[in-house]
Amino acid sequence: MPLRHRFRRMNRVPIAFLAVLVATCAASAATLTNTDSESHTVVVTEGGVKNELAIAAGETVTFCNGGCFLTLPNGDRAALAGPENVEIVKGEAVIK
Amino acid sequence: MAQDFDKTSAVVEGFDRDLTQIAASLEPARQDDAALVALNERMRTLSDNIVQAGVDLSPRLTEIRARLDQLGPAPEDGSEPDTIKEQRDKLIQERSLINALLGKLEDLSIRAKTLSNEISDARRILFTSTLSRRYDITAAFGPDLLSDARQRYSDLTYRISSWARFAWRFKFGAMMAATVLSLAAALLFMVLARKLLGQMIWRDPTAEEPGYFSRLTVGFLGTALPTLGVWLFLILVYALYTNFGVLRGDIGLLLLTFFVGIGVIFLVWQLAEAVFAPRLPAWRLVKVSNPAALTLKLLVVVMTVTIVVNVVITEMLKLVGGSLPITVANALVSSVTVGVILLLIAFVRPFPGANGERDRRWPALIRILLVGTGLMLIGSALSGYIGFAEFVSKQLVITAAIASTMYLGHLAARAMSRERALAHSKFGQRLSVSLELSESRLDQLGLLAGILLSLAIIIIGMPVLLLIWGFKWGDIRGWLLGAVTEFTIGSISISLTGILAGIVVFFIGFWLTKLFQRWLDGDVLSRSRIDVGVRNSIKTGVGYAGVTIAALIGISAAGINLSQLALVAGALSLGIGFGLQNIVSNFVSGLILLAERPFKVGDWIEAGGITGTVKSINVRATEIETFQRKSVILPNSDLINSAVGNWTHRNTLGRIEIPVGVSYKSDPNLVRDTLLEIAHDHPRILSNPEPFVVFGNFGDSSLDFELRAYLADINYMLTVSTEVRFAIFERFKALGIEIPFPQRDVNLRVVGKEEEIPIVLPEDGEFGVIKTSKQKHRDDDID
Repeated sequence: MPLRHRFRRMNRVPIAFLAVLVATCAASAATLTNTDSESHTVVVTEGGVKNELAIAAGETVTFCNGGCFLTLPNGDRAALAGPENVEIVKGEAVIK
Repeated sequence: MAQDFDKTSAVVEGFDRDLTQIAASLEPARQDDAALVALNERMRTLSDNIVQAGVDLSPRLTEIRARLDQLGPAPEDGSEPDTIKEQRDKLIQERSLINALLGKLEDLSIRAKTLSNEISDARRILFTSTLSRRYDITAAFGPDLLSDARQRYSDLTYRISSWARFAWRFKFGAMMAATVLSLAAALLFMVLARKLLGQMIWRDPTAEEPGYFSRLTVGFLGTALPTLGVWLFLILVYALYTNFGVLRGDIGLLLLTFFVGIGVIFLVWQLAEAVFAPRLPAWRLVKVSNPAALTLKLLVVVMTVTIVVNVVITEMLKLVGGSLPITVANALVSSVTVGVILLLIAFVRPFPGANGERDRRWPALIRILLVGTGLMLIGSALSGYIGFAEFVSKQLVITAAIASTMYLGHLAARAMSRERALAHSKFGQRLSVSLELSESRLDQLGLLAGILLSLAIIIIGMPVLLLIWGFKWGDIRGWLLGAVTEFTIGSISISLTGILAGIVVFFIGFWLTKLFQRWLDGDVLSRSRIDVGVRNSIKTGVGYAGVTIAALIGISAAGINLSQLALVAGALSLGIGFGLQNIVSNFVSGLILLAERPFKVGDWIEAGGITGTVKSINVRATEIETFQRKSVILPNSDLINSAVGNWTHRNTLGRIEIPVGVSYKSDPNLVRDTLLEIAHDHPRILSNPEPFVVFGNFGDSSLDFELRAYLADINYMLTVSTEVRFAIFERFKALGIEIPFPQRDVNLRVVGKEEEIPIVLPEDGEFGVIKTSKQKHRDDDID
């Protein structure tokens, strides 16, 4: 097999692999989903700033890229490192 | 459980204490940038730890809530067993405790953030105040300077001499041993390196015009080796002195500064020699005239020495106690010197003039920049803005040094990746001999090396430049870590380490597959007497499977959910349905070809009007080489969907036909016998199936015969045909059998005159009897 040909053939597979890798590489921030039928307000402390985050029923928000604290409607607190998915079920947080 | 809590609350208390401590040490550190950076780094880890503690604590809360749900709410009438009530109370208590702890951590994280902002502010204020402070120069150059200098000098000499006395009396042996040992090690290194690299670092003064690539490599290696030798010596001396307890704290610091200074001066000197090469114009890396090269080299070295002396004096002052006049004088002298050197460089005429004209000057922009910076340095230093001048001059020199090193590296990378540069250099020739590489392969290697070098220059050079320009190491590391662990684009956050891990895992898998393939093909299949086609199919199939598995493992190692992949695949399948239809169909056809094997590599096939040898069966297409050595790439689906003729499918048996015409005067039996005789005499023609002769036609000018013969290897078709034709020509000639040209007999028939046509009678009994053969022969078919 000619050398140049082999070179090209060897390159194709890794490049295709890279493309797929980049295409699928998503999601690492935390998401918060409200599964209840009424809207909730949670307090998020991220980067030293306290924010109130209102989430409508069924809505999903993405937040917290590098560690944060949550205060939920029922008074419970939680700390997140980043990649978690949190669901609010009946005003309580379920961390996955 | 209670113990755990105690531990966690102790940890939280610890965070609190750390925070308070950092806040307390902020005030005294406000004048010291290095201390501020250290504090900032501590803050960063502390913040991370605070969040991590919270994350560790959170799951327990979920557990408690689940337990509480199991227990259910307390009945209103209080009719439940005491144990359950007790348990519930305990859980509720624990829950509030954890919430309180998490609350504390949250407060701590806010405090940490505020404090870290404060530290950044302090650094900024410190920086601007250092730069904008104005000193009184006349006061600094008063009598105080002299008395201060005299006093500090005697202090320093006293310290050094007392240390020297101590070292002489108690540590003489150790000191000598360390020095000799280091010297020996450095010399050994130099000798070995010279022996190993020898030719490659020696700039031959008689060389006519060495190529740019070899100038660069020789220049770089020639610089790197002596510098490494000197550094090795200095580092070893320092390390051994420290190890043997020769140094005391203050002297150690001084010696370290001194050594680093010497190392830097030496490096710059060597680099300048490599770049300017005042005495070896052929080896010069930049195109400047001879006098300019010498001047520039000198100026660069003097500038470095100035800066190093400035730094060493600053360190000495730290040792013997600061003195404002000396500090001001030191900074003033060094910045004015740098300014003057910049002006001098601006007036150098570096470029050789054409046809005996005067040498040309720098381009206007560079000249203006140099003059402007030089004047600004001198002006600001003389008007009292010493801090600013010192800062700028130091940054300038170091930045220039690094930038020019990077530029040289960039030139090297470009020279390396230029076509045939590597192949023509000494190093490349040596490489091609030892690794048996072809020139095109070397070219590709050079390109790869060039790209890698460029990348390395950017990856190493950029942080160093940032480092020089006031960004502290902690910041850069913080950014890098942030970038490596995760960065976000919109709501998508991407983890570089994850991707890198995935890529590494994939390549390992890819490489293992190749290894396995080679082992399977070379060691197992080649000895199992499986035919080449099957071997090829197995090898390719294993390759596909291995790459697929490696890709899947790589993707999961990158932390990507395979379900996400399914999503993407779903989206892609639509595209595949339309756009990639052909490619997929070719790929599948390729798999079918490998499994069904209508032909294999090396077969002689006819497909799509092309006849040739199969060279390779690839993912999308099959490469066929015609006998004219033309490569034809035929899509696999064509080979599956239409008829493919294969001369060498099951075996290489094949038939050749050689038509020959003889004149009507010849004896057909003699012709047949002669032809058969030739066929029997030819060693490559098989006697079974038998060759035979077809009496094809009464042609216009000839009796048309055809010799049909079988070959064991059809690849000899043309050879045998030619040889047989030669034989036919010779033997027919010898036997007087004529091979006629096309001819017409023209007979004129005179109408009216009647002639008796003689009747020919048979001479013997066999005349006109038809002889029948028992062999069946259909047209063109023998089997």
